Amino acid sequence: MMPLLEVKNLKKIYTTRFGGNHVQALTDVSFSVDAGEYVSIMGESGSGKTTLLNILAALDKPTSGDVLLSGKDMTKIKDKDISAFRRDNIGFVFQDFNLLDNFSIKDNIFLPLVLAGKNYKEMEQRIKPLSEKLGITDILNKYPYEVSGGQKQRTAVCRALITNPQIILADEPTGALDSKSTDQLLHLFGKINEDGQTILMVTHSVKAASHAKRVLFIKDGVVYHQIYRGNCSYDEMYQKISDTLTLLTTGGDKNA
Amino acid sequence: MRKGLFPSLAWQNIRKNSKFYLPYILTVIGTVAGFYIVNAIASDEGVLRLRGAAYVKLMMFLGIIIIGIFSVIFLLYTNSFLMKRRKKELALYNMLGMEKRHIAGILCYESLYVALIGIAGGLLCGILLHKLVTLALFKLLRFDVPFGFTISTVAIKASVILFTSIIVITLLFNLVGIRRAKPIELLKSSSAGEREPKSKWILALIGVLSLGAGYYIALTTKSAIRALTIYFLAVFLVIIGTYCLFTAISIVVLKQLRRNKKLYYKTKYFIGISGMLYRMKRNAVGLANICILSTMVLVMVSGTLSLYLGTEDMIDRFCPGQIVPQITINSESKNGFQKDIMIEKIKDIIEKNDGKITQFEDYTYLAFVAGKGENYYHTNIENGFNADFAQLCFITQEDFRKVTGKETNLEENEILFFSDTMKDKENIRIETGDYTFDFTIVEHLKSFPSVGNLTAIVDTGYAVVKDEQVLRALYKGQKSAYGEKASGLEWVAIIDTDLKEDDQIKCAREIGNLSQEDVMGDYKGLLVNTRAENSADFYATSGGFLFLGLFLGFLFNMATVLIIYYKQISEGYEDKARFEIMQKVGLPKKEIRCSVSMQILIVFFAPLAVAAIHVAFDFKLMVKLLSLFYLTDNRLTMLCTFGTLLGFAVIYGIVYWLTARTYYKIVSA
Repeated sequence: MMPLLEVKNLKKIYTTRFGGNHVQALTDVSFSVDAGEYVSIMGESGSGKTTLLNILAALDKPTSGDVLLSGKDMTKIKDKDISAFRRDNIGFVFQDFNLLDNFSIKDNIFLPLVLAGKNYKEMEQRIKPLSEKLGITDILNKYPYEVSGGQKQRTAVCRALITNPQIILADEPTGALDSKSTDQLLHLFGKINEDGQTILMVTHSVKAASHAKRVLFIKDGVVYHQIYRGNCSYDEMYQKISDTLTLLTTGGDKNA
Repeated sequence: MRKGLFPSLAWQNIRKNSKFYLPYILTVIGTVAGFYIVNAIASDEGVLRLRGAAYVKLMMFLGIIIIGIFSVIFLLYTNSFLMKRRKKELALYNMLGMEKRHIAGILCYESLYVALIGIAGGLLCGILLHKLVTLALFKLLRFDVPFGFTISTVAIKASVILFTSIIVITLLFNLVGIRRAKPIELLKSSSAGEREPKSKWILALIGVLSLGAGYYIALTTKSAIRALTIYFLAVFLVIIGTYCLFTAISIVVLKQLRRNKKLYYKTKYFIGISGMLYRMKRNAVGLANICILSTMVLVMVSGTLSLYLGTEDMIDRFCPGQIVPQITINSESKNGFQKDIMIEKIKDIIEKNDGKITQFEDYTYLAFVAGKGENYYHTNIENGFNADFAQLCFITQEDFRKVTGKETNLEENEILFFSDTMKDKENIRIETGDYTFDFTIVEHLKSFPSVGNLTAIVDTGYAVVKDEQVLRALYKGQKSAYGEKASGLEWVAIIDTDLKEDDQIKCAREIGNLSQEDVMGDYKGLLVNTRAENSADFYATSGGFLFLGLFLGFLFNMATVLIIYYKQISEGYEDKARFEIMQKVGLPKKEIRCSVSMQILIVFFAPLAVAAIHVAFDFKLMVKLLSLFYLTDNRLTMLCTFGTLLGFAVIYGIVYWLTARTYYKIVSA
């Protein structure tokens, strides 16, 4: 079976404005994600996580290498079509929610559908089951400034899911949440994934990563290691990830 | 704290915030220069010796007051904007351990620098431009241009005092603001959650009502006197309406639009409507200010421009010939006025001065004030003019033919009639004391030539009657009612010659001296108007008005520009974050840019559009007011209004375009 997302030999070099300094953010990244998977990508600050996610989200272009989503090369999509492609195929969840404060919760969720030109009846049909699942039905008519961080993030998840995307990209989704909201959100991600939604999450929270079925570790711009959960419990997975991270920062450092 | 730190820190602040400070300092310079120039002209003794200078002095005095008030309001406004933007920075100083009195110290130094640069720069500009402005003014006034370059110490003193006080006041405002503020609040102030604007139905209703009332007044006011008294009420209503329109009505309308789900959830409207709601909430008052300032500029410039361009026409109406003698005749006198002898005498005087008469026309009219009824006029006026009253003017058909060339054949009880208010009547009854006249209106005239020195201030009915018999009967009638206060018959001659202006004036003086002689019989007064003298006065007035209109228009324009600039900048900073989010959610960059620039376009051109509507409604009222100045050329006024609107729109557009670039720079940074 063809993987849903295929990343091949991704390389990204940032050049300073006057071309003086080159910073290699991604050296050679390759991995693939099958449909229905729940993958976490871990790494320290500066390991290239964000660069990778930006490229996967088609917000940035790689220096070389390919990103295939359902066999379609995202790096080759023309600029004018990229927004529509992103809207139809990828759902985003951000650390700082990125809700527009002049829209109600409901309108924030509708935003991608409105952009896609869907009619109002269909939007209403789609939002009903989703909002119930995410527990935000009561706050649909409120505004972002009136609800809690956890509710904001669930709104963002709802907005990501409402287009039925092929894959959800989450960038530190628990970064701005308290521990209770974090638990709720991770539980939610697990449930969504069980329903068949593919999720790719970038994080450096061990707890968040421990909920994924597979964890990729990035260091110095390459995929360094990966572990599968198999039949481990969350706690066992948590331990495994911690050990791996310790190994990465101590033993893995060639110059130490 | 070290002594030299405050001044250098203050200087750094000004330089770092130059995006906000530069326009502010430029405003200070502009207003100081404007204030100095008007002051200098008002106190220039050379100007005051010229003919018509009294009018000019009055205008300049008006200008000083308006510019003074304007400067206070406007500088306070821009300062408040400046401080809002800088709250975070000042809070940071506070957090980093600076005490409030230290911040106050820095603010004092900043104000000192602004005052020094602004006032000195303004005075310099003012002194340099003074000469240029004087030249322009004299050109408008048709004065001879004096030589020399003067610096007015009076004006310098006045400017320094006024603007130092204004800056001290703004400083006090800022210091009080700092004292009250808590640093945490200051830091958070700009990131506070955006509350959705509420629909203020009552305010919206008030707005609709006062706009409607203002417009209704403007459209229905019939007479010029009434227009003059009611003008400020109309202006006041429209100003209130404008504020409500931008703050409440706009939001009510947008919210109603949002209720329409089918319409709202379309890409085009979804972002547009919610974006506009957000923008209107933040900018409503600023936009209302822009709108009102623009309306003021438009009305002022178009009004004064048409006044100035219509000066020739005004002079024509007021003084249709080079020399215009007018005599009030007491027709009951046995030793009546002998027209033919008078004409001979006048002709002699002109010939004696080596002149030749190129045109000579004369006519007699009767004019008196009467109370107004449904389709009659009466002379039972109580003390004062409490009743609805009008002015009646009668002329014989022979004289009417002489003036207009129109042949008529009227019977005793037939008239030709012209009146704004009695257009649909077929009969007119005139009750004057012991006599009652019933006239049948043969024809309603479309216009009527100017008669003597009658003005169109009050509602006037002009009637052409059969002959002097009727005229005299009417005279007797009103005499029996008014007694001592009755009007006399007026005899007017319109004389054109081939003489030079100075000689015309000399002839007029000599004609005026005829009143000393006995040959004319009984008369109440002899008044000799000359075109030459009148035209100097008229140009002094209308030129002074135009100058003031242009000068204030320029100043108000500057204010508008500055508000737009500041608005654009603040919009830019606020839109930056929204821009990024929308892009991440999947809105193409181009579309965002398109939609946002569309919104901004609406936001900035709405005030202009509303101003244009205000001006359109004001037009009728303005025409009425201009008629007080003998200006009746509506086409000219219309042209001037359109021209001003067009010119203003172009300037506005250029300013928008220039500031929009700053906006995009901020957004895409």
